[in-house]
Parts: sequence; C-alpha cells; structure tokens
Amino acid sequence: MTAVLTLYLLATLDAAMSGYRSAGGRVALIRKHSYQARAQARGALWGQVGILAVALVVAVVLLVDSDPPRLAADLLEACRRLLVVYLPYSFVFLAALLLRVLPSVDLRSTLNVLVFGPFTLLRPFVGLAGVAYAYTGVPRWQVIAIGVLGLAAMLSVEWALNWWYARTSQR
Amino acid sequence: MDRPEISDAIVDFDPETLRRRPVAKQAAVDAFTARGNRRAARIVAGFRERDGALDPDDVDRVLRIAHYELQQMSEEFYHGQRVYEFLRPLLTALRAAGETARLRVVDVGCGIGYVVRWLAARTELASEVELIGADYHTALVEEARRLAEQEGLRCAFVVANAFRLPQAASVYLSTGVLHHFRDDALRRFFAQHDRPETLAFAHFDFQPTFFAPIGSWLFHLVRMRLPLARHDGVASAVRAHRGSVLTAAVNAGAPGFVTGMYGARVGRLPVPRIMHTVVGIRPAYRDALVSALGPRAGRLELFT
Repeated sequence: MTAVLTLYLLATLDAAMSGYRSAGGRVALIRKHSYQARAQARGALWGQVGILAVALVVAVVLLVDSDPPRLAADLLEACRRLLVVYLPYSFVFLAALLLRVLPSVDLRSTLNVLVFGPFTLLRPFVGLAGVAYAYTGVPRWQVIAIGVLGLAAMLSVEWALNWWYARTSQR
Repeated sequence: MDRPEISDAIVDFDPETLRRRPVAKQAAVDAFTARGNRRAARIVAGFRERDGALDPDDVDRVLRIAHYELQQMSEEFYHGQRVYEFLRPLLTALRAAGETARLRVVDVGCGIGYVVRWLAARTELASEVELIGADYHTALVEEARRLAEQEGLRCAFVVANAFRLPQAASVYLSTGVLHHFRDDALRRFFAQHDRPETLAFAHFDFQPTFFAPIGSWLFHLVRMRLPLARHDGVASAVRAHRGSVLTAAVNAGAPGFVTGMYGARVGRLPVPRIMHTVVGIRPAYRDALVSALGPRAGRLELFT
C-alpha cells in the first residue's frame, strides 16, 4: 500500500505542477504568489478527478476479475515497477525545486533551463516508459489499460486547465 | 541572413510622430513567404483584416498576450533580479562619484513594463530614482500603466521615443531590444545615448551561442502557448548580436562612454550565460562602478 500511496502523492504533485504551468503567462502582476498557489491547488484538485476515475476503474476491474486477490497483488507489483521509473524523475525534479531556494540568479535560471524545461518535455515519455516497464514485469492487459488511463488522466490536467483559462479569460 | 520577427512586421510607427501606420496584410504575408518562412506567413495570415490592413485591435490583443508570455520567460530567468544586481551598484557608483541630481532610469522599448514594475515592486529603487518605461506602442504602455496601478507601484510609463523625452535619462536600460537593430541602425541606437545628462546604460539581450537556437526552440516549445511568441523567441536567439559587435557599435556611436560586456560567462568558466549585457558609463564614473560591483566586477569584459 506504500507504493499506492506514493503513486498517489506523485500524481497529486504532478497535477499541481500542471496547474502551475497552465497558469503561467496569464497574469502579469509582479506579486502573484497567491495566484500561483491557487493555480497549483486548482491543478491538484482537478488531478483528483482523474485519480478518482482511475481508482474507480481499478475497483471495477478487481470486482469483475475471476481472481481478485491475485490481480490485486499483480497491480501492486505493477505500482512498484511504475515507481522504479517515476521516483528518480521525481527526485531530480524535487531536488531542483529545493535548490531554487538558494539566492543565485544563475543557479535558479540554470535549473529552469536544464531541469524544469526539459523535464516538462520528457514527462509524457517518462510516463509511457513507466507503464511499459510495469507491463514487462506484470504482463496483464489490466496493467496496460489502467496505466494508459492514468497517464491520460495526468496529461489531460494541463490541457483541461488551458481550456478552462481560455474560456474564462477576459483579456 | 536576417530572420525578421513577426512582432516587428505587424506594427509600424511613424518615427517622428509615433503615430501608428497601417500594415498591409497581404504584403506582410508575402514578405515572409518570399523569405521562405511559411510558418510566419501563416501566423500573419491568421490576423483579422480591416480595409486590407492588419486589424490594429487584433494585433494589439495578440501582442498583449505575447508580452504576458514573454514576462513569464523573464520571470523564469529571474531577469528583474539580474537587472537589479547590476543597476544597484551602478547607481551607488554614480552617487559615490559625486552625482547629486535626481537620477532617471529609463527602460527603452519597455513593452508592458516588466523590468520597471519589478524594480518598483521588489526593490528600494522607486524611492531613490525615477523609474520610467518608454515604448512606441500605446496598447502595451496602457497595459503597463494598468498593471502598475493595480499594484500601486511608483513608476511611470510613456508612449514616447525613450531618447526624445523632455528630460533625458541618467541611465538607459533595455531587455531584448538590441537584436532588433541591424548594422548601422545599431550604431545610431547607441549614438542617441550621447546626451550630457546620460551617465550610463545597460542593455540586456540574448547571447548568441551554438546551442542558443535549439535551446530557445525547446524552451519556447514548453513554455509559450502563442505561435507568434514561439516564432519570435527563436528568431531573437538567432538574431542576437555578439559582444564584439555590440561594443564596436557603442565605440562607433557613443565614443564618450567606457564600454564593455557584462555577465557573458558563468564565473571564470567558458560557459556562456543565456543573456549578456552591453554596458557603458562615462569615464569619470568607471572606477566607482568597478569598486561598487565588488566581486561581480569580474563579470566585466572588454571594459575599456
């Protein structure tokens, strides 16, 4: 269950970052910490919708399976394998976030250029790599189906928020 | 071969009156097509049209959005702080060398005024000097004023040629402006600094490196949503001037200044920064600036 909880936390963090990115470049005030905090909270909240959808699908898949305890154990193993790919990516990202507290303009902007920018680009591929690695260890169609659904849910948070901003924008 | 930016092509101002002149839409599209830049041509073709010209309201709307996204880039590169880290010692140096008059810092081509607003919001400078942003574009200047008012910032924005203000600046700044000036126009840009009241300048722009175009393309891909902003961001990196070109232009246009490049490299490493700064100061204040910069004086190169 630790693996499931860790995945949940990573998914929520990812959704919060999607909220941050989708809000970027929309408000040109200088002092906007509260705006950015609300954007991250919005992303994290919208991410719960996708997480809930995945949880419901998992529940249904378990209910209809002929051997639910066996499937549950396999899905748990798949979660651990997802983390083998996602945790190093998340660790580098979080380490870069922590380093940003250091008061160096060069360090902070370098982190943006070398970590945050490229990691945003790599994110979908890392997501796919995780699902692929989980499937190679647990070759069940449920792993692919739930993995792809989860990936789609996380990748759609930013898309959905961009759509919402476009609709509510008064600029 | 120069790669013009869309934002330069879709607006036109009379240089004397600063009145906006209509831009023929098809001519603008054809100009990009003739250069083989079909992507830019498609972007320009997407603007609304009014009597054969680009609809100025539509152009203003898109440029406002582009500048909002540009501000995000500035924030990601901590550009406000970067400007302050040079400007603070510069102003200190001017005072230490005996300058007692009220100092005016003018941002040339300020757009929506990010640098001026950041300095007013985040530093003590607004209480010490006049912070002014100047741009030809009325819609952008109005947006700058609106944003400054919303946060109660002590700064001013004017629709004007920054070099023709009733009172000249003590210090001129700019960000991402220099690469818009090519060849002799760059020399003439610096020549306009040569007024008795002007003591120094610092113009920040992208530094051309081998990786700049691809790095710029990648970064704009992940950070910008507007196609115009993505296109122009890469074009800016491609058009950036080398430090030697900038200092040569200063020496030719404004020989009354000691000039050099600031912050081109990370420390003593041969690692280029994304932006570099061409700086100039009147000879009487040179030593005071070097002293005021302290450890950062090592970032000055070719400073003669």
